[in-house]
Amino acid sequence: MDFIQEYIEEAKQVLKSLEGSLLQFENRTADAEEINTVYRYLHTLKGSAGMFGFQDVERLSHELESVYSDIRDGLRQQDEFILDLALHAVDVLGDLLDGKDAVKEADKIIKDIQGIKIGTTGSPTGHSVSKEVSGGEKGFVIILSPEKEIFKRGINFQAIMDEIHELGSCEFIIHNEVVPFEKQISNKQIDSLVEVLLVCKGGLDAVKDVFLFMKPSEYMVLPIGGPEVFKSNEYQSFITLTEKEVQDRLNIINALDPTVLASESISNSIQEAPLKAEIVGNEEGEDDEQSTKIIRKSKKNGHVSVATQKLDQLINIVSELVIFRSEMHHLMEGTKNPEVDEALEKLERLTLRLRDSAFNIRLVPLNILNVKLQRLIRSVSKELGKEVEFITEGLDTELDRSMINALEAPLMHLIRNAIDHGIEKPEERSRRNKPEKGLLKFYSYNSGDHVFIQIQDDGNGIDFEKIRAKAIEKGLLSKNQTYTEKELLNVMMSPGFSTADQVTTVSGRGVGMDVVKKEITAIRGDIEVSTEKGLGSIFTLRLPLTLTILDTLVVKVSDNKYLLPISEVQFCYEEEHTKLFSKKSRQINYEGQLLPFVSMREYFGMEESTGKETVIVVNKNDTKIAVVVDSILGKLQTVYKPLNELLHNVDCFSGASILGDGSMALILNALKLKA
Amino acid sequence: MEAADGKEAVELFDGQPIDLLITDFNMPSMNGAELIQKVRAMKSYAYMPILLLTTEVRQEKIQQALDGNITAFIKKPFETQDFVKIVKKALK
Repeated sequence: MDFIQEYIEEAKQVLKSLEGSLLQFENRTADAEEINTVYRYLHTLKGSAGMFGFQDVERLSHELESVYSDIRDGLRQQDEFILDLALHAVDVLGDLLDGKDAVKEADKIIKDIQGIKIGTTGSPTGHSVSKEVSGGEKGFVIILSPEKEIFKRGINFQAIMDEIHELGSCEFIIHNEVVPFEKQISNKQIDSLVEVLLVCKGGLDAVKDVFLFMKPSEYMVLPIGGPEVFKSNEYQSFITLTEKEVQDRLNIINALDPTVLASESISNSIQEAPLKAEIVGNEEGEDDEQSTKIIRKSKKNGHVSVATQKLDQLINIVSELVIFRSEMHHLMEGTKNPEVDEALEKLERLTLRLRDSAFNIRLVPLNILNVKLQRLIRSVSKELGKEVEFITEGLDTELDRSMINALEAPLMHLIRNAIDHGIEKPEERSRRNKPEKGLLKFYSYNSGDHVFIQIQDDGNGIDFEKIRAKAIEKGLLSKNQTYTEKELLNVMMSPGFSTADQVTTVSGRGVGMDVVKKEITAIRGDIEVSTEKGLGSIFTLRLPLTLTILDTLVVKVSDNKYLLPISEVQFCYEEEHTKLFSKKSRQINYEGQLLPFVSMREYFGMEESTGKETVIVVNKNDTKIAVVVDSILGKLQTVYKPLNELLHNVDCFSGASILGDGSMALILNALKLKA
Repeated sequence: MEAADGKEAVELFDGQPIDLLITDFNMPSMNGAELIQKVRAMKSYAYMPILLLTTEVRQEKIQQALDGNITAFIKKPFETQDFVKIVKKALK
């Protein structure tokens, strides 16, 4: 990478930060320091642009800089017009850096800026607000004093420590370590006292759940409110610390998550997200309020940016390691050597942890979409003359980078739709006794191995009559039939359906909900809609955490193995072949409901089985179907590989995967098995 | 795997890997305590999780007798979801 390329990368980074800072101003009046930050970004941009010969970038940032220097000095107030101009300038600067021909635009902005300076322009205001609720990390100190022979009770102490590890970030401190702790674990005799400093999102109950099998005398969990926890009687009944040791622990907690201790005393300054606070305790610690002093760091805390290629490579290696581990497991199955088993178990734990951390690297918080979404909402609501209050929650939810990229377009589309079709104009809203400002909420949260994203508006709701009429007009539905709301919503998401009365620039450009649905399905996600007329709608996206690793059920059909994603499997049971096929209807009775079933042997044209067969009830998006296979072989975590393009018409398989023994198995797409 | 009584159960523990033993206390031919002590004494199953189902009345006595051998007691009657939670945890 030559210098210029490096400069462009850097300048773009600065632009991004600048854009973020500018958008902050929308919510409240800017304080002096923030204006100063914007000024500094512009100044950096200008300086380096001159050095590398980007004259237009230099000119534009110079003009903008001079405006912000006036604002900083109190000679001018930042108003909506200036903000619009600055945001527009950010786009133009980006284009200029990309080498696009945006000189004309740049000149226009410069002219506008010069206009402001003389004092001829100005504009009325209109706001949109965003609010973020943070995740709320909590700190705990845990003391474990297991009985020496805890392993003899069938409790794997290592597994308990692993579970603590999974809760959040933590640090283990081993006390009384006469025998090395690793050795104690492998000897299965614990002498030491284990102290854990843990920072996690779950509450006390979630932490205590880990110790379900331990006796009350064997563990203690204390929430960390401040340094005084290390002075409490409970704590001191196990461990007594010197001042320095207390300080060490506070430092560790801070390194794990600075907000845990900070949230107690100085919650105000923490809310400025980009700043990280570090707390330094005083020597005495007599007065808790005063014993904490804050040093503000305006630098980013140790981030390394890595080329995605390198990351992908890492993920590939880890994925193969996962496969290799399964292979190893398979090869070792016959041996009854407990030591080998143990070593394998260790390998398994480590691979899983390695896999999890490798995937974690790829995860990015949804936050990176925030700026884009806010700008979209701003411009769309202005264009349509609607007022929108944008509330976000859970933007710290993390998703695979490639997922976020794939999500961007559909999310934008949903938000555009919500503002265009959902939220009414202010006049209309006040007529309906609603606040003039429409509410748009963006929620996201983790649940199991899925991430949910909800977009909720308090607008008009979806008009089923309109959908019906339109669908009939387009020939998608028949006139004489009644349809349930669910069916109508499905039609809304089918190709070639768009209800916008007129084609506006905002929505109704020929792509509709069908494209959103297609894009979401492409990343193995689901979309669900719930709506109430006059009150608004909620769009819920359900997305897998990663794209490549899949938990599957391995099933056997004749001599072949097939995989079924476990998330789709609802119920399994064994049944005699004759009993299943005694009736002609090919249906089973599951929870009082008749379900059609497909026999895999029949489907693949193999001879009928005679003995017991296994019925698997598959539930995907509330559509159920039963699949009959010979037997279930087990559970397997596999790496999902898409099928070759030539096979894209074969829709009964959604992909392929390599099994532990190195052979290949196809992943069944049960819903498409219906002949 | 299933066994009708304690005797049958002991025969299943022939050295093959087994992840978890769930047993009732009151059983014909061999009670839960005997079964557990027999199984624990085998080298292959020294560290296997064991869940014992007991009734309220006798819990304390049994607990004393088997302390140090058992992963968890499950009091009868129990809720299915609690049972599932405990079994899942024991299998971790």
